[in-house]
This record gives sequence, C-alpha cells and structure tokens, in this order.
Amino acid sequence: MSDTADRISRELDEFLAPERRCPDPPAAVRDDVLSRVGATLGWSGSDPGPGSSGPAPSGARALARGSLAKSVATLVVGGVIGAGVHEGYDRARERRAEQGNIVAVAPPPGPPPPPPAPAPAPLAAEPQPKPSIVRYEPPRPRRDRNLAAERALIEQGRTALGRDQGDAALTVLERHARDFPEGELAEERESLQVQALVGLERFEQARKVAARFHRRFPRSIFGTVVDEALKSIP
Amino acid sequence: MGGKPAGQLPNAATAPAPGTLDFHSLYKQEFAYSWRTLRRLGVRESDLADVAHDLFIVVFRHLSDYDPSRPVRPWLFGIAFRIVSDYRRSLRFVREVPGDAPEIVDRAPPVDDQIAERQAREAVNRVLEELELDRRAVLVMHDLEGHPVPQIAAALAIPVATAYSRLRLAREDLAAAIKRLRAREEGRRA
Repeated sequence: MSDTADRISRELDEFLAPERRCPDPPAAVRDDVLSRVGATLGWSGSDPGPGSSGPAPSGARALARGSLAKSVATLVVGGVIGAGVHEGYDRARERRAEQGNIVAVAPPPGPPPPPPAPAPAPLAAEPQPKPSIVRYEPPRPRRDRNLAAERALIEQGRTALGRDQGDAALTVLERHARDFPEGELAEERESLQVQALVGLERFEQARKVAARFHRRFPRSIFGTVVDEALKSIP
Repeated sequence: MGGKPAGQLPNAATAPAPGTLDFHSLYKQEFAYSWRTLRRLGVRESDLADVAHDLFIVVFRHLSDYDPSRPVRPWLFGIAFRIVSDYRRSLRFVREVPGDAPEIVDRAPPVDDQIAERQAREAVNRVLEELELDRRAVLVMHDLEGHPVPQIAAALAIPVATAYSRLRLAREDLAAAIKRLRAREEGRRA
C-alpha cells in the first residue's frame, strides 16, 4: 500500500479543495486564546513564557492588603471553608473509592498472614507508608472529558481572587478539589488556594498548603507564583 | 493560506531544529493549523476557542514528551484528535443533523466568489460531519493536510494498514455523503 496507490478521486479532490484554501483564523483570535491559556497557566503579563518568574497576580497582593474588618468577616466563613479545603482531597478520594475508581486489591492467595508485627514504635520519627491495600486507578478519560468543567471552576476561582473575594475563591476551589481531586488543573487549584489564603491573612494555612503544593508538584511552573504569595506575608 | 497540505509548507512536515521548540514559538507557528484541525474534526465554531484553549493546555503540559526529531504537526493532530473525541462524547456536544438547516443552500446565486468559497467550505464540513471520527481524522490528515499515511498511523497510534483502511472507508463515506448532499440540494431547487 502506498499513497500513490491510494490517490484521491478527482471528484473528492475538487470537493475538498475549498477547505484546503481556508484562511487562517484572525490574529485577534489567536491572541485571545493565548491570553486564556496564559491565564489558566498563571502567566503574568502578556508573554512571560513558561517557567518565567513573574510576580504574583495582583489579586493576591490586593487581597494581602485587605482591611482587617474584611478579614474578620471572612475568617469566620473562610475558616470553615479552609478546613474543608484541606480535607477535601481525602473526602473526595473516599467518595471515589465508593464509586469504584479506587479498586480494592484482594490479598494474593497463599499462606496465612504473618502474626502481628511487634508493637510499633511509640513515636515514629518519620511517616510510615500506609499498607497498600488499595490501588488507585486514575480515571483519565473522564478527567480529560471534564477538562472544560475543570477550567470553568478554576476560572471562577481566579476571577473571585481577582475581585478580592478570597472566601468565594476558596469555595470554588474546594469544589474543584472535591470534584477533580486529581484533575488536570490541580496545580492551578492549589496555587490559587495559597494566594487566596494569603489574601485572607490565613498565613499558617497558606504555608501548609504551599508546602504540600511543593511536595506534590516540585517542578511546577506555578512554584514561583506560590513563593511570591508567601513572600508577601508580612 | 493555511489550508495547504503539510508537504507544501516549509515548516509543516519537517521537524524543528533540536532545542528550538518552545511553547510560544509552537503556539505562534501552529495555532492556525490546530484551529483548522479542530474545526475539521467537528468542533463547532462557538466552541473552537474553548477547545483550542484545552488543546494548548495539554500541549503545554506534554511538551517535554514531544520528540523534536519528529514532525510537530502529526503530534499536535494526535492530541487534537483525543481532545475532540472527548469533546464529542461530552454532554455539551449535540450532533447537528447535516442538511436540515435551511440556510445551508442559498437559492440565489452567490454574490461573489468569496461567498461561494465560504459556502463550499461549509459544505465540506457538513459532509465531514457525516463521517465517523476515526475515519474523518485520517481523511482530514491525508486529504486535507497532506500527511503521509505512515505518519498518520503513528500520530493516531494505529497500525498503518488500519490507517489505509480508514482512509479508503472515509472516502467511500465521503462520496456517499456528497451524493446525499447534492440530492438534497436538487430537491430544494425543484
């Protein structure tokens, strides 16, 4: 088989010809999409490029300068929401397990389990790995399908952050964490969470989320954004 | 003009020089190709910007996976194909029945060549809509973009023989769809 042997008929070729001549999309469209891509990826300015170390988004800084009154008002609501953010992943994982995305792995047949190990050390200096009785199977196709839904939530969070609505941003980001705990935009979510928490002056929580972010995404392009947000903590 | 087959474009089928591919250069150079590809695979005009955004997010994330010794467009097409597959499966995708829209056929003669050209392009995309996505992708890559079949097979992760088979079947489907389109047009003129 070859392309030569598989030439298109003249009729089809002529029919398709207009489409081959289709004009390129306008530059404005190209620039608009690039702008949206940059917004999703957290680029600051018009064209800093991936990996650049731009400043934290202005929304985060504005939030960091928020008034005490606003912070007191939002702390009540935000405290509850923020606690939920930290536990959102675990809850979501449990729910996914119930839905079948976490598949229990039956112990292999064989000899009976060994007798219980000696009593654990009273204070473990390092976290011990949990027994691996479940295997996580990432639902990639569904995740891909839901990229648009993910993006919508992230954009809502980013917009709320830009409007000094840190509590609203956290609410939306928590929803993203609940619905897409391992989503394609998890990096964006967590970097926005750090910025929102800094803006709400929940600095300790922000540091914890930032630390977790760096553990999960050590080479993330949002690392600089997260670090910039932490630097703004007085 | 963006619709020329890949082989006629200096940068289309040739791989970029090693180390020269960065996201912004890729975006600038290949946005039009990606946009066309998404549209030809069936993304509606109103969704093109969203889906293009998704495409380039994925491209950005997987840029390190790209082998710079290979041409970039088939790689992009493979990503676009998977994204469009998901898009078409999503709830928001409601298939439009080709030929049912009254504005498809303009009874009056086109006022100028530009309109005629646009209508011809719309007809192509309406007919393409009648093809299964797997076949449509091969046809778009081969007959519209000019990628060789082995390159298509690699991009879509299918055997070369399967790609040839899909191309043949796609052309048969296309020919049948064109006949139906023309029959509808004749019926409306009658």
